[in-house]
Amino acid sequence: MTMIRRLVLDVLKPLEPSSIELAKKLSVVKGVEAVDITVREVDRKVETVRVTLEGEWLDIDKIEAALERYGAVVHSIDRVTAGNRAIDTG
Amino acid sequence: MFGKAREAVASRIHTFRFYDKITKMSRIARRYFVLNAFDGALTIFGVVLGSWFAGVSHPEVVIAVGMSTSIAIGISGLWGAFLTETAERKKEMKELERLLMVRLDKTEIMAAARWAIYVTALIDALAPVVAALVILAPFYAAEPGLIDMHEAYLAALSLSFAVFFMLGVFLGKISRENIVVGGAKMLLAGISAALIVWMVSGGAF
Repeated sequence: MTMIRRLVLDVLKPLEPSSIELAKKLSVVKGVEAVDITVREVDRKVETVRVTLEGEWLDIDKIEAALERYGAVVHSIDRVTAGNRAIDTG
Repeated sequence: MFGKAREAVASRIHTFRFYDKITKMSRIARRYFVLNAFDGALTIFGVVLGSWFAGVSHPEVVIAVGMSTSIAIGISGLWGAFLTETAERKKEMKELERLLMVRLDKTEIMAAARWAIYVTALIDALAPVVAALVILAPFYAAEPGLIDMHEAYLAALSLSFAVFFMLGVFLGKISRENIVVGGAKMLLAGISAALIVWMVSGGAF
């Protein structure tokens, strides 16, 4: 089985729930060990954030479903790390 | 057995707190509560004062008129808040859907919005009834003869002023102003109502 260890997603989300709430919700998704959300652009009602997730076994479907539950949409998958070890892209 | 029930309640509370954070419901509900409690209290105060000036000597009459009036205000609050909140939240959801380019029907955001509508409407409905029950309490005591009608009137009027003052204190606390000043502002409304009723009734007392 292929293991996805790290994902970087470009996400458009409503201002509420806040990034804090969303990070909390994502951190309890099965397989997720660490979550980082960086705000990139804030609008009046929505914001674009970069969501970085790390874990031993990330399930993109589960992650996407969790995001959708809170009204967030994945615009693009910007970076994926899979396999047994991390690559040093320098 | 109780452990499971407690867990279920705790998880519900957790969800509601989350919904409240998303919708900012408590801020809006607080406003509705004060507005409609004040509406109810002032109306019932008018009913009590009017009954007193008219010389109503049966507590059941004051209770019947007071309670039916407050229930009518409550229902008006329920409908008003429900329809207003539904319209506002629907508009908000539609705008979000347009910006996100997705349907939000099955999201927690929609569930939170629905929850906020129901709770706000309920608070708006109950506020005047609670205020009325407090003010009319002496008449419930007068009905079985625990106190006489004169005492009931005095107690009900004092309770009205206490309710006005408490609502003012509550507002003062929210705005972090002097709570006594906040209370006094609300009290002033009661006093002016009393004066106007007194003048309208021909200055009978």
